[in-house]
Amino acid sequence: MKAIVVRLVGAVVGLFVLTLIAFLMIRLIPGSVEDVLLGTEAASEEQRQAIRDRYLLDEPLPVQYGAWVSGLARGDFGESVRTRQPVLGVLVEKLRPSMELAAVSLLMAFGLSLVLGTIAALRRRTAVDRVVTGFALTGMSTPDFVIGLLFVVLIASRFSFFPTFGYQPMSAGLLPWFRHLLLPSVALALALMGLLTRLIRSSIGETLQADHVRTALAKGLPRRRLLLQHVLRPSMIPVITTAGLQFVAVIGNVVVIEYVFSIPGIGSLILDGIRFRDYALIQGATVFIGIIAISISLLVDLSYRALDPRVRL
Amino acid sequence: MRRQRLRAVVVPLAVLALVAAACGGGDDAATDDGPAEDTVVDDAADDPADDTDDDAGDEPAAAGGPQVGGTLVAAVPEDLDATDPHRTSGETGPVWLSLMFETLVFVDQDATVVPGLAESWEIAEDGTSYTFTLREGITFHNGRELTSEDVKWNYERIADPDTGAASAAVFGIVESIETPDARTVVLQLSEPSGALLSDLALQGRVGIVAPESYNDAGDMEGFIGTGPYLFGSYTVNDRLVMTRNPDYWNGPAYIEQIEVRILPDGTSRVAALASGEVDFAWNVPPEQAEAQAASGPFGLQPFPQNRGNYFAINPDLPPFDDVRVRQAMHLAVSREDIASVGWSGFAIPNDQPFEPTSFWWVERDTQLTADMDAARALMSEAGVDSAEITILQWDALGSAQEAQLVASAWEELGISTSIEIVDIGTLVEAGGSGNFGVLYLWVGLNLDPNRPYAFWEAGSPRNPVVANFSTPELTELVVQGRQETDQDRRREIYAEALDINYANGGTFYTVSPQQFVGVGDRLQGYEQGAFYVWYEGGGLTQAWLED
Repeated sequence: MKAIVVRLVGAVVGLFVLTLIAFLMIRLIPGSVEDVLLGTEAASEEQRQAIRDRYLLDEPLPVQYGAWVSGLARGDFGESVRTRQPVLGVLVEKLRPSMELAAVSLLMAFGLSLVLGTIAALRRRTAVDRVVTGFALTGMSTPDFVIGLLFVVLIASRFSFFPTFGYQPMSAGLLPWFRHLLLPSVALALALMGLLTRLIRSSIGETLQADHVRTALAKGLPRRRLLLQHVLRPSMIPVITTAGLQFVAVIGNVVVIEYVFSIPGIGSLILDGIRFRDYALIQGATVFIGIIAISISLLVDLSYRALDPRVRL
Repeated sequence: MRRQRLRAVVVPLAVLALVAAACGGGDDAATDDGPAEDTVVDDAADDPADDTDDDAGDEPAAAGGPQVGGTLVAAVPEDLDATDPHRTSGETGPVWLSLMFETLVFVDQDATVVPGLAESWEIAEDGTSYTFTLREGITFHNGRELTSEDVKWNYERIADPDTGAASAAVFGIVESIETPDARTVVLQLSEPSGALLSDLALQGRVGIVAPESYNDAGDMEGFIGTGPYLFGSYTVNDRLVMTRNPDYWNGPAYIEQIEVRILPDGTSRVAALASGEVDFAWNVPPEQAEAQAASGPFGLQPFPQNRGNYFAINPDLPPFDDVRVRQAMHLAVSREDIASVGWSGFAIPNDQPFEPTSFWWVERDTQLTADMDAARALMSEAGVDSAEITILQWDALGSAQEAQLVASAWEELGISTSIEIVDIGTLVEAGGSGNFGVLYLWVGLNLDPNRPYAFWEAGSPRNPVVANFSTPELTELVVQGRQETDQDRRREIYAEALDINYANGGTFYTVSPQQFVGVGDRLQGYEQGAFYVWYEGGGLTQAWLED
């Protein structure tokens, strides 16, 4: 219990540090808000001043930061420079496709690599093993946007079942939702699978050598039971850790895939935000994703306990 | 474990940064603006109809002819930068918002200014006052009649610094706006202007919005204009939906609904055209689209947009402060190579920001190929045998090869050249600080020459985008050109300005890249004009969808 409290406190501190980083990073990018908004038009000094006033840009950094964080504490993420709308609503709306994409692709990757990894581990140094590890290596070393572009050009533009772009919410029906999400998720999953498959293969391979497995095998435990209870479960700890961390990494990859498949998610929002120097938006999105990442790593920690009773939090 | 966790954070961030740098897309906030002047697209086929169908009709007309109905899905590379037509400055915003919000004067397919919401105008002898007469019986989408007060309100709002309108500068010379009666608007100017009419035709940027569209805080809530399309919905980074205005004063359009979707990637836009998911795509990469268009369900139409790519060398940075060095750098570059290699032939060598089809293009003795001997001679005359420079390339430029060709030409002169790709915010800041070597960007969609050429006015807010290059003569000419109301005389003034520019090793225009729109086979009667997606008598307002 105490350990959980310590972790929670750590998470809050981490979040605070994140706000600071988010706040400073976007301000490190050269180019000012008013330059981007007004472009190279013959904007007057009054016009520039009006924009600087609206977004407190002339205030010292601590004041700007204070205003933002105190807004955050009240649940006010500020106003988007581009749309002049509250940032929070846009973030919530755009987070959904991205999270669905990340979750679906991770599930796909996890499921497939579990099967492939286990097979490869059980048939070590056979042709099957080599095919699987070769496939994993190819997946790992091909950037997901390349896979995505190939999908668009080779599959989506020819088969009308697969749309080349866009997103449909689940409320529009399960099939339209799935059709829009399938290719981008597979593109992401293929890139993810490589790492997971190799990890599962080696993790299971290691467990198979462990004393308790050899003892159980010697005692004549049925193969199926041995595999499920004594091999798979303990082998999952490093895999779960990696999958959790991968979920965070996937959010980074989602940005690229959303660009290729024109999915209006948080990735494209962030890209546009950077282009428009939309400070409030970028900061808000960073904090949002930060909260998700921190929660996931908490969950991963907690899952150890479930998988291995020896772990005491 | 620790390391892995760190990587999990660093990798997405790095990817983000990379993507932000690489696929920045068109930050057109900066340089494109007005419409283009003149066009190559062949003359307007006679208007498919001046609408005899009354608005009830969703009845398809006889086969082959225009018919009412359907949803046009259009793919564009980037989202609207704002939905308030006074605040947009990129491409997507002005192009599509113009279907809802109209301007006082329009342009035709060749980008010549023609009557719009105003049926006529008079310019005072001395060029300091413009009197517009509004057309009778134009109503906003909410049924209220358009009056001169509305026009005045809109122009004052655009001029107000708090609005943050990119076109505020247009009204910098407007001293007062008078409305002697409901149909007359008089703009009193502080100095004569030859550019005002073109500036007032900037579709989607100085459009007239019903004042009741705005709430007390000055933010847009309704989208009430006078145009051929009514506002439907808008979702950030996803789509803008508009529906046909059955009561449009100039004859309703045919297409029932227009859905503008954001597809940032060029390959994806081509794929969407090929699969028939979209009927129209803005800015398709011709190298990829050409082959597919030959067999696929879509065609390409050139979009002559009077674009000029240019390199601006910092004239205050030694040794480039020596005019001979800059001239040598000009001479070392082959415009023909840039067009054929850098742009795979989809560009014409050009030394000015207007294309030969434009009224504003002037015949010059354009240097097409490199003259290395002359360049080397100039370098040794200047006593420079080695130097170092960095080209800051705007990330919205289509061709990385162009900068590389220029860099390798300069390397041959002993100038070691590196290229850095940056977004527009970074570029503008570098230009303003004077802390840079070469700026490489483009100025496009030029309607009036005052736009690109006024960059040369010393001390103007736009001067940094041409590396702060100017001469007293050039400044004087630019001011003269702006104030002259005789358009032939204006062209002569700008021709002289171009001569002075090149004599002083100023802005080095290289090529005019050709842009294309993709038009699906279902979309009939569409003819691309020089000015966005519609113009007086054509474009999307006269096109229809086949079943």
